[in-house]
Amino acid sequence: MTTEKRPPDRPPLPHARRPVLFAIMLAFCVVVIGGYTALAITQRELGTEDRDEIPASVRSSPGGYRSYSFWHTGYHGGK
Amino acid sequence: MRVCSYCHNAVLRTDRGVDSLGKVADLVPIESPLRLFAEGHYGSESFLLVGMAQLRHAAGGLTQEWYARFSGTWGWLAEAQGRFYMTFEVAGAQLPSLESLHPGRQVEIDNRMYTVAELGGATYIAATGELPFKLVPQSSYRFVDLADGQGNFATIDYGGPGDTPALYVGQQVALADLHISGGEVGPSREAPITSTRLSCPNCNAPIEIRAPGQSLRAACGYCSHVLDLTQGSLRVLEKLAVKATPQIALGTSGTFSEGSLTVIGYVRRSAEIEGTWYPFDEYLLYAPEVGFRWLVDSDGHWSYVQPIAPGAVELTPNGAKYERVKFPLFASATLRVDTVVGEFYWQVKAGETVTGDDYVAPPAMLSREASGEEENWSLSTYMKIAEVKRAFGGELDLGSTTGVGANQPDPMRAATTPLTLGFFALVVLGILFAAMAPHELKFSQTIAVPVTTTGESPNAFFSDPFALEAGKNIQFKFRSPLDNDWGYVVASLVNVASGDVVTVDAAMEHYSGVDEGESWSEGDIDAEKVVGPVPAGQYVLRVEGQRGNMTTAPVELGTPPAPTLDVQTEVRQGVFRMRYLWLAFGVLGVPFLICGIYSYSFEKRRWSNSTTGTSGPKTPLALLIAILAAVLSALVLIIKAIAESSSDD
Repeated sequence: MTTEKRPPDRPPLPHARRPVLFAIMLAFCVVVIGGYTALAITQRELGTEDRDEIPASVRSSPGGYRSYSFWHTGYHGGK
Repeated sequence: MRVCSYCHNAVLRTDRGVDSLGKVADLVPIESPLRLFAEGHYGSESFLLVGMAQLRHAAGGLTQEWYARFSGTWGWLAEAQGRFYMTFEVAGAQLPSLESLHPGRQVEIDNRMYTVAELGGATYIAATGELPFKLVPQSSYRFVDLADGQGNFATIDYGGPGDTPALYVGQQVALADLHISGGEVGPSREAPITSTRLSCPNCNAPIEIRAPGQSLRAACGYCSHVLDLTQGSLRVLEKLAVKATPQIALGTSGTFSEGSLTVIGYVRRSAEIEGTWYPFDEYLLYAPEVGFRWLVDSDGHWSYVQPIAPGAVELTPNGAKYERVKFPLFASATLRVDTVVGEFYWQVKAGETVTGDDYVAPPAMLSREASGEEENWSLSTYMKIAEVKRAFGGELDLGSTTGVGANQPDPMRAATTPLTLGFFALVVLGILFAAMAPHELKFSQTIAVPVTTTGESPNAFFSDPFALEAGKNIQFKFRSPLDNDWGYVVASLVNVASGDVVTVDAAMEHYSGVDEGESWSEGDIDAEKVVGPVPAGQYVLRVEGQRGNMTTAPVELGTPPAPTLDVQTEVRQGVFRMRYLWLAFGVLGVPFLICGIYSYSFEKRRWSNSTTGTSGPKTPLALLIAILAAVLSALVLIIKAIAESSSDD
């Protein structure tokens, strides 16, 4: 003859309560992973990019961009 | 045998009739929720309590064994120290000899493995109602209590010398599960602890006994004399050298996980570690429906302590295991009673010692205390000071904590789970994005870029138009076979239709030589740039360049050819960006590292109090960081390989 309940002389193990830090870290991880996922899906790049536009007057002639001289000049490097 | 509850005469029914056995001693009044002729349930079976025998433990304690009559069988419902055990006789079992047993020994009985909890003796002192045997007052017997840790309990009654041992097997049961009802008229079961007010025989100060019948010793809070409660009237035993000064007053009630409990005793004990005695305080809590519990204060670190069956704990080479959780050994020490006040269910005296072992898995701690014939295990649960105050209504001044408690939870461990999950999520995402990146080649050509010097009008290379898709990043890869030279390119993607331009520039260089017999080289002939998505459409790649050595072009007869910079150029779309995965790892890694360092320091301080050496077990977080670092390194290599194999397609 037995009972099915948890024995009184075998109390359950206590578990540490989850403090506020758990919630903060969880939110932090969600933000970081979300940010990375957004970057990976949209394929966007962080930082500024050198983007420009050729004036409409130049664009209107076929191949006009070839003669337009707004291109990069300057620099450049070496030892 | 039947004892009249009015005249206490005992009569024995035999085959020949009814014999009178004379008067049985009066029952010792014990506050009990059980009563004669009360009904109860054990599992699905009901029973009736038809008799009860009172016994005095050899150590002084009182127990009551109730004769429970079931339909077709009978059992014993024993109550001792606030615990209840239902057992049934098992005939014909092979039983070990009494001499072969000792506390902690494991023994197989009736096809079940038990651990010996106690070897003891008891004497029948009184009885009431009907009993299934002839009770001889003042007769004694030896017994062994065993438990299997799964809730099963056994006791072997070895009787007196020459008697055949009898086995009783059953379970420890919670009072609430017995559903006791009815019985002879008595005080309400819902009534709080009844108490008895006595006077100290030494100083005449009032002494309140809050667990009458259960307590064997009391210590006067005024004159610090220890009093014996087992002889019917108070008797002075000894004067304590140190007056007890508990932080929580006796009689204070608090609400804990198991219900409301009242502080009935206080013990200051000390643990001997490397020749020094370190004091700690223990408060004995009591409620009839719960039994005895402890509240322990060690350097301001509080724990609520519950007893557990010896067989419930499995000893391992490095510690103990309970409920499948490993508890490393933290400390082994001799424990000594320094001073006491209040009442106690054992014959407490100053200077008595036991050996104790503590095993920790915060916030839990397993403790084993062993004396000659008894081994007790308990489970401690860490409580913050604020929780203890809250349990007692918030009016106590309990001071502050010192150092790190043996079973104090590491607050930074809370960060481990989300951060670890975050790391693994990033690894999975990294593998996914690397595998799914199309790395589509849109343009590939080795370009002889006409080079200029600074200030000159650029002479640029223009590609044929090629299509680019929307929503995909664009990677430019340049490689120039430079030798002791530098090259610089500016590449622009021009949208043929809209005129939108996106421009990148890249520098390459390679130098080598021999200095003092040692060859050296530096620089990189490869360069890579990535820009975000552009609108879908036809694009032209414009490349202009510069280089350092303008005279490297071969000069032949006639006009020398215009200097060029040979650049192998590739444009791809939808490339995997490893740098952002690294960035995410880095951002997660900073708090992970901070938590790891804190956790390491926390565990180091905890284990500096251990008797097993200051090194102790490694901190779980530190181990986790090391494992994660190894796993991450391997995974990064895999992701890189995936990304590179995709780009080769």
